[in-house]
Amino acid sequence: PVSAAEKPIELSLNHLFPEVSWFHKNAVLPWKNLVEQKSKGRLKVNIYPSGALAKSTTMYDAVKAGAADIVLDAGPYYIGRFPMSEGTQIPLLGAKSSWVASRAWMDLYDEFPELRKEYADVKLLWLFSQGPGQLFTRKPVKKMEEVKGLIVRAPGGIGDIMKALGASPVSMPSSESYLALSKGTIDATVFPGEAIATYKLYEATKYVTMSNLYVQWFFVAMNKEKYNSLPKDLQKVIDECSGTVGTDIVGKAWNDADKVGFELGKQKGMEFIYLSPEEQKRWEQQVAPLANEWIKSMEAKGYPAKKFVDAMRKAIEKYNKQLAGK
Amino acid sequence: MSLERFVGSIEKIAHPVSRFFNFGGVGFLCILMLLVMAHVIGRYIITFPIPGSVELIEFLMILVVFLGLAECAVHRGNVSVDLFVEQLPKRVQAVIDAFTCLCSVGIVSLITWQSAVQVKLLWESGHVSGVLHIPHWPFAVVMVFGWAAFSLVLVAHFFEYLGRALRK
Amino acid sequence: MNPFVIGLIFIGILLILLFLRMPVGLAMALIGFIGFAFITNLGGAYGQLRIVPMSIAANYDLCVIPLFMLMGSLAYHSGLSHDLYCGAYKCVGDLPGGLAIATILGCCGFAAVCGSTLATAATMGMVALPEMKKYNYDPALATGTVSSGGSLGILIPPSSIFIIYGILTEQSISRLFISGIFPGILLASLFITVICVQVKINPKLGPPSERIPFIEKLRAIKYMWPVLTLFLVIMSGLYMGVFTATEAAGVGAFGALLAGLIKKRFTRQNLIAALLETMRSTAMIFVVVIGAMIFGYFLTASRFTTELANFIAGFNLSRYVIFAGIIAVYMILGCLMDTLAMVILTVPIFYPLIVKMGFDPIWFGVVMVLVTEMGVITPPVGMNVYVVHGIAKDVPMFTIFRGAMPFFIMMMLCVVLLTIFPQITTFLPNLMGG
Ligand code: NA
Ligand code: NA
Repeated sequence: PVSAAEKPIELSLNHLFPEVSWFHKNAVLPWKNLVEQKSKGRLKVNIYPSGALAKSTTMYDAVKAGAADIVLDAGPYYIGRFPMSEGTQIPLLGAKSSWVASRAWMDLYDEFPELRKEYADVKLLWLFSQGPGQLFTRKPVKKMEEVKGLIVRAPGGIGDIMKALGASPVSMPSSESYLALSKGTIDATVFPGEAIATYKLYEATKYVTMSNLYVQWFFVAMNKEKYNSLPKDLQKVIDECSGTVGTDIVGKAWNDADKVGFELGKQKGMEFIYLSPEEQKRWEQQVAPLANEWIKSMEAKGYPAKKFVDAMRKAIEKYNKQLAGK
Repeated sequence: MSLERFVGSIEKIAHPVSRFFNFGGVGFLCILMLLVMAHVIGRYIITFPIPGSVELIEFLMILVVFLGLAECAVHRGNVSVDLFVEQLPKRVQAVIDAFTCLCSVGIVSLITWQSAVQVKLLWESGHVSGVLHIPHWPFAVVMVFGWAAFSLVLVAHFFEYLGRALRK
Repeated sequence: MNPFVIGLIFIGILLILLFLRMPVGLAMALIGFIGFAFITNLGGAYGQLRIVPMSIAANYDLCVIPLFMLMGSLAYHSGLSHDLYCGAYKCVGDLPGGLAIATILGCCGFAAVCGSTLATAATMGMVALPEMKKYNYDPALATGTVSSGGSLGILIPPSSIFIIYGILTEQSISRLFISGIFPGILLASLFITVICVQVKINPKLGPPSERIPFIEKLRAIKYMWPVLTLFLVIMSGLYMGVFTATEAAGVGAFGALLAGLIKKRFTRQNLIAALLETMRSTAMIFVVVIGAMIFGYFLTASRFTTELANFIAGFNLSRYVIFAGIIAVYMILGCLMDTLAMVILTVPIFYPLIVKMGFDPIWFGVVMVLVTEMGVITPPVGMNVYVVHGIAKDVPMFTIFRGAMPFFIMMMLCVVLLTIFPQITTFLPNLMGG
């Protein structure tokens, strides 16, 4: 019980999603409530959505400096800074949901000290993945040959995947893809399922190729000094709310949001094209050089990249079985 | 008298440096315009997007913005609210200007120092651009020089105001 | 201490520094830094100082600033404004009050390639004032027309204030531009109406020039085509989603360069002058934006705006009353401050409030631009009036302010119309979809 005189310790949590987003409501708020409840009101989490305290791409620096106490941002914005973590971005490893990939990465985080070392500047709370990216096209795509020549909105490293599959990638803000897709400036875009609802993609196009192309990694990190300044029992509260606990909250929320998106798409008459297992294999083989390249360059720098990727495949397989229906 | 000479000697360094930076910035501005044009043509007319054009545009922006800071200050081009101070006697104006200029020197020096820290942090972090893998830190170095020249110009202004305030 | 009180104190200190003539951007950075350190910790405040400048400059979207500035500078230095006035003069010069109407049309045209009020007023003043003097126009009408017509410069896209508003509020700059088109045309028509009414009441205010034959009027197109083409390319590109704002700006700058080269208007001197001018205004704007961002992070961290919104919501007023209050604040500040300074200072404070009350952010951007633009013709600090006074030194400042009065009333009317019929603003951007 808190005495009237004792004021709660306030923590600022800065994340990149808008306040109106499902992510804010179904992932961030539940975590805030969990922390406040477990600390019996001695911790108070102030949420700053839409990067109100530090923009995306600067959040890691901001949390390191202490401008925000906790941040949640997308990892791929920080190219070159987390070389091992970039391995999680290897395409078509088969993770069937956000939750699966996130739990697999947390296993890797415990197993590989090289991965933990990358976040040594901060207190890493957990890693998680967005829902697997699917291909939204203006014309139906059932085979790899039909990807060839498409102009696809695919930011950053996802562009390399699309190039490997024969498309020409362009990068533009996700918010502009609706317009570009409906006007035919682009032929296709990549998004996780939740985007069907978020960006009203069913108005812009009809076809979705369910290919689980890629996953995108996010981190949740806390300022080290702030963490160390907390009383031991409150540090324990933070510990108990992070790791797989945090992963499960976000993973579950993202799974649900993807389901909502797919349901809505079906209602609105979108056509969902599922690749046959043989076709899926062909896509995987086509992008395999990307993984090999990454392994080769990382091994050259002395990282256990081969072992890392093998462990990741195994973990994804394990959680695909465990969490498949959820 | 010696204060004026002191101001003069700071300006002798600050002004040519500002001009030089600014002309560099002009060059990058032209490249920036041509690059954006090429980016548009590449994307829509010959459907061959220039790889990494977005990140090149961003890097060029850093050069254009920070190389122009000092020259803008030389021409006293920064927006300010003139209304009240203008009504006051010249001596009082000089005192006020010296004070606010000192505040300006303070914040710009702090930013210069922190930008230098940023160079170190970016260097250590290994942050590179997405497509062309160009490291970020060299651009932060340009930023440090830009802010440093800016603060030098402001220091000259401060002593100039101080001279006016102290003049008999 | 209550965050609201902390926020209030630091805003107070900031205002003092501003009125002591400290550069706006630096004052905001300083207060933002100290305030952030006060509310969170010194390390975090240092963090903002090193993170914000680079992340603001290295921003693809903000590239519109130097490029549109360059387009305006090139257009100015290649004498496009003079051409526009000549064209408009040929079309309507022989009507009663025709030269004043031509000035408004010229302002419209120049506004379509230039994003700045001052530049529009200055260049139009330079070409239109001597003409109006020649035909014995009333000095108040002549100078009032030029100083007010300049305000079309930032309502009609492209516009520096829309860009800044878009950056500070994360609204689409393309949409803001598109939404400014109809209000700009509306305001220009109101201006022309008020000129006609004045001349109707007292024909001596604006006597017509000698008749211009119809065939001459057709030839006016010769003067207009570069600007019209540029404007159409840029706006249709933005509207159809073909261009991003940055790409449109690049095309615009390149187009202005090309037009000047075709018409053989560029010398080494004026080309360099245009480039240097662009560098200077770019640095000026970025200092202001960087300062505003650092200050904005402090306001966010202090939760001042959230508390302010709750505080005002506590009174249970109609949202239109609160809106009217905000407009009043802008008008008062407009009497004292430069437009850019005012926008930078107020948007971080008012914007969350406006959104929370359910107003359309794009619509508010347009209304705010219009209201801040009233400030350029109201005493004691009316930048456009100063500029026009600089050109027409024989006309007393008071006369110019008096001449601008009818136009000021038209701007008020325009605000009222935009509030009653928000569709004027939102119609076009809503058609864009997305
Ligand atoms: Na304009
Ligand atoms: Na005013």
